[in-house]
Amino acid sequence: MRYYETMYIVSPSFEKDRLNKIIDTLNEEFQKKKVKVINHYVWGKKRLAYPIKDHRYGNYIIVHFENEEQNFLINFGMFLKLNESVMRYQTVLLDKKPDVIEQSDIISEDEVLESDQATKEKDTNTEPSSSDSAPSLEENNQKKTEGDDVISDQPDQPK
Amino acid sequence: MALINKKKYCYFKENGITEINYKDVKLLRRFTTDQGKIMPRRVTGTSAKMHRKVVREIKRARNIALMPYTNVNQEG
Repeated sequence: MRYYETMYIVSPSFEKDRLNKIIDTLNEEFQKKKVKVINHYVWGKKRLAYPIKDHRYGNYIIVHFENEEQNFLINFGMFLKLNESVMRYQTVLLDKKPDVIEQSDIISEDEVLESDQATKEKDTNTEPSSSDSAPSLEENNQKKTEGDDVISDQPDQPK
Repeated sequence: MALINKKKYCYFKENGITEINYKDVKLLRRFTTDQGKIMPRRVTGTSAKMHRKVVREIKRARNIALMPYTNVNQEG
């Protein structure tokens, strides 16, 4: 038995009801093909690293499922491609059986992400004073972890 | 991470990390430049085994728009 993880992005303007509808349509597809779904949850709304179909943000949804039939993955990929609300998808083979994630865990995970972002913002506020003096390799790496904001602040260098 | 005057050493061995996931963008950003390029092993000091994994996960993250292919023409 093989375990897979599919992550797909849907439009950022969709609200909870609409997201649930999309999840339901996918679950129906899984049921039709008799594929066992382990997890299916919304990962959260995130900023895209590059715009897709003119969207700067996207709702990320993750599915974990187990499957043996090879044809299913091809058909499932086709299904997602033809689904207009799915902007992008990616299926990855997992080494181990994924843990079942409960609804309560998902909410707490979101909170962690939010707090992460909050700390990031704090870092960006304090960072410039220290990094101006002597930017060692380590500091450079810290900067990178802070996200796009720092990178975009730097003026574009002519090539 | 490797400093200039310190001996370079694999980040994952130092921290006992054996698995990498493309969803962990914060970790993967250590191994890319500001432009979004993957840094060579001779710069980061990562072991060959883990570097292969890093490269794979960065490419996955790029595909699903968690990490940029390039940052050159990006505004705001």
